[in-house]
Amino acid sequence: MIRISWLKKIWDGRSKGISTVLGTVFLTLVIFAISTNVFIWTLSRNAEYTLAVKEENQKNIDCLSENVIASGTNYSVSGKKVFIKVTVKNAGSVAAQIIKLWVFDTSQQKYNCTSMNLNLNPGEGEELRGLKTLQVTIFGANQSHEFASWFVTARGNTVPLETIQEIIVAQVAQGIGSISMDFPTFRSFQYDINDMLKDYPNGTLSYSVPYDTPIAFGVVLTNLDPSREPIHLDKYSQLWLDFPAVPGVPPFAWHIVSETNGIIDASYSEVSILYAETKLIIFASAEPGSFSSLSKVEITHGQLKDIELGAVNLLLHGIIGDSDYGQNIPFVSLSCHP
Amino acid sequence: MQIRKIFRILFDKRAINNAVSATIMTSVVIALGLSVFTWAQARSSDYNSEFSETVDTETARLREKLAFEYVFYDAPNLTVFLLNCGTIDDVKIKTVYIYDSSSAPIQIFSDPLLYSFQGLDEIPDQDLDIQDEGRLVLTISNPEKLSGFCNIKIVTVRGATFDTDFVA
Repeated sequence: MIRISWLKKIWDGRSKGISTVLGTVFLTLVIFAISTNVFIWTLSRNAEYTLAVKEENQKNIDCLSENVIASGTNYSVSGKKVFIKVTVKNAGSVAAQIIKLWVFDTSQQKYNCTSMNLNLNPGEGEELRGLKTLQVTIFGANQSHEFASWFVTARGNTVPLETIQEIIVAQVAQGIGSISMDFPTFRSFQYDINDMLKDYPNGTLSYSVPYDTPIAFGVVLTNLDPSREPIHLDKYSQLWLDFPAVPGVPPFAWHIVSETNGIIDASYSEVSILYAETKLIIFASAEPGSFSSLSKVEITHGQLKDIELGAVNLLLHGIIGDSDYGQNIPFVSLSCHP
Repeated sequence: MQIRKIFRILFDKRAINNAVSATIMTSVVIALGLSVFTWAQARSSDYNSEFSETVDTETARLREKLAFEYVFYDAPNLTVFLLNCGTIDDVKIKTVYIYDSSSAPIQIFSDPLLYSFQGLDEIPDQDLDIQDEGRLVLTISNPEKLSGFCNIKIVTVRGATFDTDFVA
């Protein structure tokens, strides 16, 4: 209708204002189209930017929430290899990935690193010991050197490896020499079947043992050698029990044995304790260097009273670094009962 | 009657003039409107692409993140081990600033070479992709000026800055 009336007006010679109207409509359309286009475009780009900012903020929060703890670090050196034993725990609220270990030999100002791929969920931990021990090559490294090390996570955080607490006087006083024993964890074992220790590794935490039953002993030792050398115990190391109140009774001896998950090896493989390392050592055999069902030791009741108190000595022998080593720790009294 | 009508069509131009002028005016307005639309569209398109570029650059800069794994100074060489822990590839280093303990600039390195993490080879494309590691070896021309607690600042091509402290 409008178009027809416009044409009619033009035909009748009354076209005044038509072009103005058309122009206004056009310009309005142009302004509307362009501004809408620009507005929507700007809005979408702004949304993209805001999203990127949001993502980065989240990443920063994750980065700050990452909390990996590396403790109980122990360094040992063999040739140019530095072995690092450490306990890692993810104490943060986000999963963490450890990608690198840096080790710095502060004594000679040398460093090196090794790549890793250790993924830890929140609360998860990992014992990087035994087969999982980490190693880094540093030329000229020595056991007596000081080391500093840190992990690098995929988020770019660094985690310092905390070393074992330095030796304190009280610890050294526990043993006169290079090895100390942990008194509260002294334990005895009975046998399950053949050469298998019952309830390994916990055993029975007690200073009381039964008569007439084959038993073995477990002692937790720490190498506190001031020169930081590893100690290698030979087959003659033994736990020795004497009854001073009953002079006629010969002392009992349990020689050191090597074991794997509580199963005692038939022949002794040298047991070594690295500097600052704490290890459970088993004494079980009547014979030095070997173990069989015949070499199990039991305290015979015989002429001993029903409850008899014995003095226990730990006779340790072997090599410390390149030198001979021998230590006698008079440490525990033991009551025996039927 | 018919002859009269034809005559009027041929020789009476009063209304025709108006129609022609109205048509011309309308065409001109349409043409002008279209050209204004095209011009404005082109201008807004330019603005859009400029804005888009700015947003892209800012977003990329935001996503860049470099971690200093280790900074080791053995006069006169300063070795910086870097990890791209951001969420964007192709992080290129434009400039490295070294400041002394009083925050005075000691030396500026432009376009320093990026080496592979543990080898002697240069990284071919001279950039770090996501989770890539690289190494900068910067030779300080006046090592005697560098002592105590110093600072290193890295500026990337996209304009992001990262800095850390080290002891010389």
